Amino acid sequence: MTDPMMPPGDSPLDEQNLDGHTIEELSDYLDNGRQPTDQSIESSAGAQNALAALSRLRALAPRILEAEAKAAPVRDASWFKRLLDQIGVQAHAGREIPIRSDHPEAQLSITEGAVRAIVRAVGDEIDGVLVERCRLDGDVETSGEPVSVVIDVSIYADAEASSVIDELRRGVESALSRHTELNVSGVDIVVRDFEKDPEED
Amino acid sequence: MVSLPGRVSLDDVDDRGLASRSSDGDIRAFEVLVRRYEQLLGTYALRVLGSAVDVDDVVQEAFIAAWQQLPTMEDFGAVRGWLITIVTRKSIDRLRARHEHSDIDEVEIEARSDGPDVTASANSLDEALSKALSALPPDQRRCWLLREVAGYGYDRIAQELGLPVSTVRGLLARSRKSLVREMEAWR
Amino acid sequence: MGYSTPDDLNYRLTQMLRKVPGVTAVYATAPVLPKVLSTVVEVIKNEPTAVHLVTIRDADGGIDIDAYVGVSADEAAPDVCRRAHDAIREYVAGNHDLPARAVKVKIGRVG
Repeated sequence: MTDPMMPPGDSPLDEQNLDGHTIEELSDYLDNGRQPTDQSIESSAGAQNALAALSRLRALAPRILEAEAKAAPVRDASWFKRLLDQIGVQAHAGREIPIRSDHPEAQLSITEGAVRAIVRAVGDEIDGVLVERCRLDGDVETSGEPVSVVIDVSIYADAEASSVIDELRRGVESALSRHTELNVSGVDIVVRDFEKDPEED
Repeated sequence: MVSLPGRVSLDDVDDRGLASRSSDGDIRAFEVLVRRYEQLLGTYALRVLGSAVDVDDVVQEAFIAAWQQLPTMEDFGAVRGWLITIVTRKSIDRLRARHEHSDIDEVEIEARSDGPDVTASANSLDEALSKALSALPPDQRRCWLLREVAGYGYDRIAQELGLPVSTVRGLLARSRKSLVREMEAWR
Repeated sequence: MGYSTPDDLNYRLTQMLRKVPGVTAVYATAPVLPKVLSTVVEVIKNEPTAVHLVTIRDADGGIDIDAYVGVSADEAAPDVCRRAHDAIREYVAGNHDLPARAVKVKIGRVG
């Protein structure tokens, strides 16, 4: 409905409706959370109309782009997977963890990034837990030095936290002893977040 | 029991969880973020750039930069705004490069309208505002997007666009005036 | 024979490594720098195989080789790593006029 006070085709931000105020001034006032209170604005019907219109526009702003994005043709992201397959292993590779060899001129290793991915994969096989991040504390670059594994997880509401954590710890110890030659001195699991069941939304 | 996470269930993980996991090097989690936001970021980049020419490059470069910078990100919950900031920066870099390579700003060659009839053919308020946004002169539209979508203050917009703060205030006021006019026409 | 130039050997070693049981991927050993990212994007988008993977350098009377691989989770990763290393040495011994000296094999992903 158009405001009955305004003639058709008129807009609350038209100069003649602003009661001597400017759009810049009213926008700034709105940006500041209408503080400090300005009586000349608060007591003017025209200025109030303008503020209300500016607020509505601001509330609509995210919707405009969301609606356009939904209507836009779906973009092809397949190239991205290929690119990440290459730069992905480099961007987050971290330190090199040695692997033994009988050959004197062999330099074999597994990256810290690969080890973190192993830890995430263990979590992926367990119901109710999401491994978010993991860290290796200790001198991983020297064979035999003790290393402790610190894992940040989210636990989902239905899961029994203590049993999930035990299962994750056992799984991580087993996977790391199989795929690395790390001397794992401990696996510390930190619960960052208890999430509600995503399927309940 | 919730079964978590196969490829499918990562889709149910919130932005914070995905960003955290991406920062740990998980390509699958990052792919979910890419899928979640690439349409929006593409649309936003198109709006800021004013033409489709560089949109794909901007979005791709922005995601690559995001992937590399994720390990240093502090607030994983704010990944949406963070991505928008990166796309804003990449888009503005492109605009600057265009200026350096030609005297005529190709972006300026666009339909302009100050009249109230822009939205006459729109079927919804969203569509009407979308058309009104298209009809804004590029500098007004950019200021408005940087303010309302990227959430930048006047100083930062002025700095990014290389304009005086007073000019930014004026451009924003004019953009709001045009958009409110279209919005009100739909009430 | 045509195997003698380092670039050719590089390509052949990459192909050979992909066939080693347990090896699932061969990654680029040369770092991808953010500065040249747009070039990298271009290369990978248009020609995924053109990226330099295995690195070969001249060494004292031989060659040094760097490889960066992904391996399957079905076997212990160190076993696959040692197998890849041995396969590289064996291939160079049979197909190149200089012997392999330092051979570096790094695992970037398991599974």
